[in-house]
Amino acid sequence: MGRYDGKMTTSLGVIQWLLAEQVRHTEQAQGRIRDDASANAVAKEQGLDLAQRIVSRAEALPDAQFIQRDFKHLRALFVWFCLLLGVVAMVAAAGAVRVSIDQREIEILAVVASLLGLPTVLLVVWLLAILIWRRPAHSTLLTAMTRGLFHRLGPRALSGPRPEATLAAAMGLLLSPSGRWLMGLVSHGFWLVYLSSALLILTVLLTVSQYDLGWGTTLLSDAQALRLLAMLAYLPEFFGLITTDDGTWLATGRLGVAPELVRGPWAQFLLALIVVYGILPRMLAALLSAGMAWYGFRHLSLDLKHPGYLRLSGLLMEPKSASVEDDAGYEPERRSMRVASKDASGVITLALEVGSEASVSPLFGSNEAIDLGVVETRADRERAMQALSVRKQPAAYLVVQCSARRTPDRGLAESLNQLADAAGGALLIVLTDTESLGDWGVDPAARLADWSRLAEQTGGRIESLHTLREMVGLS
Amino acid sequence: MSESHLHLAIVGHTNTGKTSLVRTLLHQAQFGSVDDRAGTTTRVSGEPLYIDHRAVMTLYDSPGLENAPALFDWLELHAGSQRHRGPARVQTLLDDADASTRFDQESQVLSLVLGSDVALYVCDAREPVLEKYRDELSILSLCGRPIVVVLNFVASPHSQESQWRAALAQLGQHHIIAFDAMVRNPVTERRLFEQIRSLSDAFVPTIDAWLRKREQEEADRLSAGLSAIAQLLIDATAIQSVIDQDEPMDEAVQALQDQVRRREQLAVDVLLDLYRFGPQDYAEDPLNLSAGRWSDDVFDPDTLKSYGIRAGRYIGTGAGLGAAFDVATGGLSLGTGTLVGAATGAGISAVRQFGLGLVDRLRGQIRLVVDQPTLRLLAWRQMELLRALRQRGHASQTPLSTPAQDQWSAQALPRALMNKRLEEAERLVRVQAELAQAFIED
Repeated sequence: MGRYDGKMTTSLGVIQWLLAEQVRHTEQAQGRIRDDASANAVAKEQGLDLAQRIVSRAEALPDAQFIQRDFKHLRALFVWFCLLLGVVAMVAAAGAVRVSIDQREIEILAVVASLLGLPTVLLVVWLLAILIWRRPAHSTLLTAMTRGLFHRLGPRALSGPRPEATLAAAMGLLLSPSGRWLMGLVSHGFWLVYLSSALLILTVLLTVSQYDLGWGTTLLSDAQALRLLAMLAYLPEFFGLITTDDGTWLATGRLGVAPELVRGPWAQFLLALIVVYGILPRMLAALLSAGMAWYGFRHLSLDLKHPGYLRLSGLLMEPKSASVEDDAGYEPERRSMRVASKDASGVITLALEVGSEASVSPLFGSNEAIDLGVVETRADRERAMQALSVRKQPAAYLVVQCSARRTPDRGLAESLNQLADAAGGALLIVLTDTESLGDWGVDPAARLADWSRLAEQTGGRIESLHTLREMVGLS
Repeated sequence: MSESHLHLAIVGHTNTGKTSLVRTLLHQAQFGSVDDRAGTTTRVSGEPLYIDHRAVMTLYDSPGLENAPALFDWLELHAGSQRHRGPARVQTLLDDADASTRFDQESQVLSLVLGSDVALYVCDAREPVLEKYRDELSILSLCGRPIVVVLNFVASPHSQESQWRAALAQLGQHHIIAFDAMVRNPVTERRLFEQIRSLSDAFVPTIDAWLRKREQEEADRLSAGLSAIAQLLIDATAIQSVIDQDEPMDEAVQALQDQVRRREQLAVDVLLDLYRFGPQDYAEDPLNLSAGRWSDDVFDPDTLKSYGIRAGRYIGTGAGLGAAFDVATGGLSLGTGTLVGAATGAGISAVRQFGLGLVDRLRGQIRLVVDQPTLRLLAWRQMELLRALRQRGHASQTPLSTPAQDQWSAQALPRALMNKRLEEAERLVRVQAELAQAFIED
């Protein structure tokens, strides 16, 4: 018998996982794929744990390669969708930059607020969700867009069978924790492209055109605005993107003071702000998401407690080695029918393994037959054999009462043979309790067949009480 | 303590249900072959039991003992100076070519028991305690291995359990357990392993680990079963069709009913698969499952009656259901989703449905949905099936039957079922939780 020596866990490829899920969705909607016998057989040869066998089964089912191809199409569709998002991000960035610097005089705080405001708020929300739920909240808009895309374009892109199950499996993957990280990556990617494009466009514009940059405020006092700018300048300076060692630099940036002196440093400051507060955090978040998604997809596992999978465990995990059934191999020897010799006379009756005295009914009157009583134990058998051996002439009939409730066995056959040999005449078996076999809880036909086989082994024959009485009466 | 591998031999007279016991302990209906005949199993076969891919135990099925009296006499005759050295006497038998041939099956069994850690002796409690059974136990005792006697068929009205217990005590057998191999009862299964554990300290960690695994499996199976029922109910509430008010309803009702029937069958299939029974295990019986299908049509009013659900009592709830759909449409139907007729065809309610657009609203449409009594019937039948399956032995060859239980049918449907505002996954979890509650309270 085999022993499991395989790995404890099976890591599944994304397509394998999707395929298994596709089959589960199909079977949930349409019932188990019934022509799955060969796939099940293949699966049972593969691997040692249920997840691995479920995947092998899914791969061995007809149409598996078409479904796998469909998943590849969906993946391509998703990649195109992401590229499209990238283009949208670029266009949006161009629009945002255009709107924020439509005059020669640029208020740096206003530009930063308009370019970084929304992405920063969304990033903070995303981070909060991770801190609170320890997993990314799924982006409702992005998920809805992907769902809409799959459902609109999916059926056209998919050529394999059961596209609705294929789409359900794909959406299931996107809504799984790893899928959420992936969607996070897409979302961070979008903003990265947006911010990088904005940075690029700004750099180009600031390179080829002249703008007056500086800061202004209406609500704050100049001192407060300067403190705010100093705070904002801390990180860019820390990264070495700008230098603020001259303390007057910030103050000179007040709009209208001396624009020609600070154009260069302030343009650098604006670009540095976008890099440090826009691109850098996004890049970190994107790296985190990519790492988590990559790890998650490397460790995809099926929810084996789902009824759709658990139902397969009986099918796929059943023992490989069924017990060896070898009924044909054991063919008990048959005896020729016992017949009474010419000098035989008289009838001997006994009851064999009937359980108790109470269950024996006398077959004949005492003057018609010699009754040896109930034979069950070793001592009973010896007594009966003794009684038979002292007889001078063989009996015409040995009538043995047996209960059909007993399962005929070789021990019983051996006893019958010994007794019949000693008695010398024909062996007639009367079965009692035949009527109540069903009530006893056994299949009457099977049990009677077993008794017929026993009769053949012992050279006897089974007779009804009625026939028996007639037969003995005639003798 | 580390887990030692336990070798467990299942032995006994022919046709006492050894293979059935192995099947029930393995939870595998496919193991070996079970028939109401003598000598169905003719060779020893073993099947390992695994925890996390480690084989921790092996169950051995064995051919029946058929000729113990003669074997007993042979052993007595050849006892010689080894009278009190049982295993050596058994080895003498196994070494004797003639005797091994004459007692072929018995030799296999004795050789198996000698190599095992514990033997389970299965006996048919319906049988009178004949001398041959006593001989069997005496011979098995010679192997010097702990024996647990498993009284099978104790649920039969013909069971002679007390006579067996008295006789076994006289033979010095005190580790006895009534274990109906036909009835899959996790509690008795546990007790059986506890008996085995009590016989050998070395296997305490193994058996404890095994019992924990079994408990977990049982819980997982029940939870998956309830989840499948919850999914059925959720899917059934989603089955609907919208037709124009003046369109004839019959065809749509018929199509809807067919959808519900198909969906219910899927749930039955899942439950049978979960508990590892094939459709062939069923026949006409009180559960009315035949060849894995309900014999009673879910839309036959008589079926409702036979399950103690009165359709009339729930006429008002159809309107409630309509109102729930109004909520689902975001209140745009302005609370006008009302019941058109109590029942258009059995089991289907017609709810006057106004579309979202003004034109549709004025035109008026009818939405057909599955009515509450039918949903209750769907839930009730599947819960009954689940209950019956949990109690049923893998070796049982007689049909399932459970008494009708009115108290469950009197309970309301899970509340979360009608809450369409819940996210799908959340709704499934809540419906399942409510079903689990009903299952335990039952």
